[in-house]
Amino acid sequence: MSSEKLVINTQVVGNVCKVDFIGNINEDADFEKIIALKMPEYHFNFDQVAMINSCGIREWISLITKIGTQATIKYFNCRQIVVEQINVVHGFITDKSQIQTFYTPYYCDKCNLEKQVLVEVKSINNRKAPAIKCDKCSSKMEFDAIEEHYFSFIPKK
Amino acid sequence: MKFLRLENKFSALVVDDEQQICDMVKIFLTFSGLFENVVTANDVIVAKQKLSNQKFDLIIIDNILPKRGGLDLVDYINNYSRNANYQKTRIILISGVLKAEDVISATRYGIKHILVKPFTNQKLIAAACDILGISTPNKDSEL
Amino acid sequence: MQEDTQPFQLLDALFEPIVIIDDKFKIIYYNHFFSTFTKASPRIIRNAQTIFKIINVEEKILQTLLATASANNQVALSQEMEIKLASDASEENLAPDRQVHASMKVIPLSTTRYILCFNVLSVEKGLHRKYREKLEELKRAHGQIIQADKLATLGELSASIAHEINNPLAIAMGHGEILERVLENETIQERELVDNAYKNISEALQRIKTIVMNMKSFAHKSEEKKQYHDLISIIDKSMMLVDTPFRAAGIDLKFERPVDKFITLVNRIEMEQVIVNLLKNALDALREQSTISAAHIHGIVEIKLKKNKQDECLEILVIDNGPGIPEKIQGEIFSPFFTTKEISEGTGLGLSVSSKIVEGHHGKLQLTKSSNEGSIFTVQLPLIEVSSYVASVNALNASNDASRKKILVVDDEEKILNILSTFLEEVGHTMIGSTDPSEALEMMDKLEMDLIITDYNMPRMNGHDFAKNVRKKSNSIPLIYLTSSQFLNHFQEDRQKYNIAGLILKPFSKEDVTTIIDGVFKEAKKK
Repeated sequence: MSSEKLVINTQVVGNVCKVDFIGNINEDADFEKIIALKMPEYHFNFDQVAMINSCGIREWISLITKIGTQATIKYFNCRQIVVEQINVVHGFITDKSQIQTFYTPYYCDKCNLEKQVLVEVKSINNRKAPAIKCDKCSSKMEFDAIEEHYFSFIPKK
Repeated sequence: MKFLRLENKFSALVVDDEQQICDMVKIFLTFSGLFENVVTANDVIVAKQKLSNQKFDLIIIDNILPKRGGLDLVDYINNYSRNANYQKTRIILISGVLKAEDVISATRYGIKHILVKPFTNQKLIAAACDILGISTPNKDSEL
Repeated sequence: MQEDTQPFQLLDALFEPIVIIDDKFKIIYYNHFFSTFTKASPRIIRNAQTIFKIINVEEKILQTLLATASANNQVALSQEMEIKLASDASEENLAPDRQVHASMKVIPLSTTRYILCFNVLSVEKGLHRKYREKLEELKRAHGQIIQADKLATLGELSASIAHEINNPLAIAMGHGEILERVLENETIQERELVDNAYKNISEALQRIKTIVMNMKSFAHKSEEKKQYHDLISIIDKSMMLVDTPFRAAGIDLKFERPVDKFITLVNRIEMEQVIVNLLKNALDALREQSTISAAHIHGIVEIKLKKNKQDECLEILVIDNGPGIPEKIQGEIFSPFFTTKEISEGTGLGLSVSSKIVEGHHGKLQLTKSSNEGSIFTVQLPLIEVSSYVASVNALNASNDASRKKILVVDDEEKILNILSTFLEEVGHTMIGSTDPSEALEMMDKLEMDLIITDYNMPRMNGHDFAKNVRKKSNSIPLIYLTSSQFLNHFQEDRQKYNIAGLILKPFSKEDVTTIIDGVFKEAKKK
């Protein structure tokens, strides 16, 4: 499973290229075909990313550098592991590459349930986690990470 | 096979850039008793000069004359023979460097006898007789 | 947390995971990165009684570290180790990312407070392992390449040395013969010594000649493994070998089957290798195209087989409707190690090796067309009669045996050609094969033959007509019929008319063939 090579699926609709990342983003990641497409706008979907490490991030930054000046990049469905890496590394987010949606971890004490909730960046204020209710018992769920840390990629307003 | 002694002997031109090879072939041909007038040349220019001076019954050419002139000379001879109304001159190709393409080219030029160096006296005379349409004089021959 | 943890808050800015524990292994404080590193959210850490609920390290190891640190009042460092991240009750499976390679450092704060930090080395370890593996792979590939290159160079070197030696060798042997002739009839005082000297010189030169012949044959090893095969069956087999990847990629593979057989003298396995290589390249080009372009062009690879009368050769064409090959690399694609793929996906030796194989068959492999509509690779092979003739010239010149004959065999079945080829080689003759009587007739003008053996029942021209045409060209060349008993009457009819010297009946043994051939040659010699 850790040797699961990254699969990149691309779909071009109009001026936008949708890119799905499936698997592990690590030192073996090869983004050549994304660069070769030379599209003006990219929507990167991280929904099916299983793992990402510092090498993968390095490859990623390289990708951003190559296409970032001409293209607009939007990140969707960023998994917790992706957010954690974004917070550590400089260069992931630029004025042309922005996160649109990402997952936030929640926990319900009563039901002992964990949940990943997809939120929009623009809905986050002052790095505070939105209020989420448990699907089972409707009580307030606890944000299951360190707010200040998790939302650090979002500039304080 | 009986050896028929001929009244008229044959003439030959030997073209090889190594004079020692020319000498050797000349002696082989003379020893056979079939050839009288054997002329040698070390390059294509001299060869053409000799060709313009007299007719030869047999021409022996090295296919790697300087600048690969061997087969070009063959081509020249074929045309020369035709144009000058001579009987089709018979050619033996000798070679130290024989590649498949050379064999294929040689057959296209109509050369049936290709001898790779080193060749024996016997092989040379056998090829010569075959071309000239006579039987070999060598008493050791098994042909 | 009860105590004042404010001074520790600046630890949150650090990249290293840091946790402060007491001597009972209870967690006093942890920084943001500790949470990320251990994948333990705040509530999990809150509920953990000891650090061992978060990271699964042997208590003994940590105990020793703490003891060492406090005893000497200095930093204690652990070995590099695998640290398992403790999982919650709800998650049992140990996913690969729940195991970390790291070393620990303990910094004593007080007798009861210790800073525990981690030097995470997972990525470094993984990269190191991969690096070593790739390096080994490269070394091996490099070794193979050097070896192949050495052999190729050795082969070429041998060939060129052989050629260099041939001229002086010819001169020495030739003049030796002349010396022998001249001395034969002379009276010499030291006759025995002279004869002996000549004999020694002659033998030594003969040995040199053998060595040179062996060197030359080393450069052309593949001549020995060639047999008569129908190219159609070779192409079929090659297509079968690539069927699965083609279907998986949804790309069509077609073959325009010719009506007639296309028999030629080749090394079957090598030819299959060449065609498979070309098909795989076409497949890769089409797969690449389908992932890049938005328009869905249906990928098709087609194989065509033709006889090129003008150039006297056979052609195998591999045609794809891919993106073509960029002009700037067209000149390099046949070079060794040229590749557009990742190291793990291909060594780039394919086209270079294929090209060498085709050259070894006296043919040519070329890119004959390339545009954005597709590419065409053409394998050119000489006609069967020509390839076997080239082999025969080399064989003839290698042997000193004047009794080695050139025998033309005309039969439309490659099996017969292969069997006869083996028999004839074993008794020291050279065989030139042909499957087409009209081609054979054309070849008669170009090639020297000592004997012709022909099948009687052939599709386009039967033995009778072939014999008639042969006699038009030559009255002297011996002719043998090869046929089954049902055509026996034809032999009787034609024997007188066309001077058929012998008959080999199918099925035949090696003795049948050699006896009849020997007999025919003896008869011919008498005349």
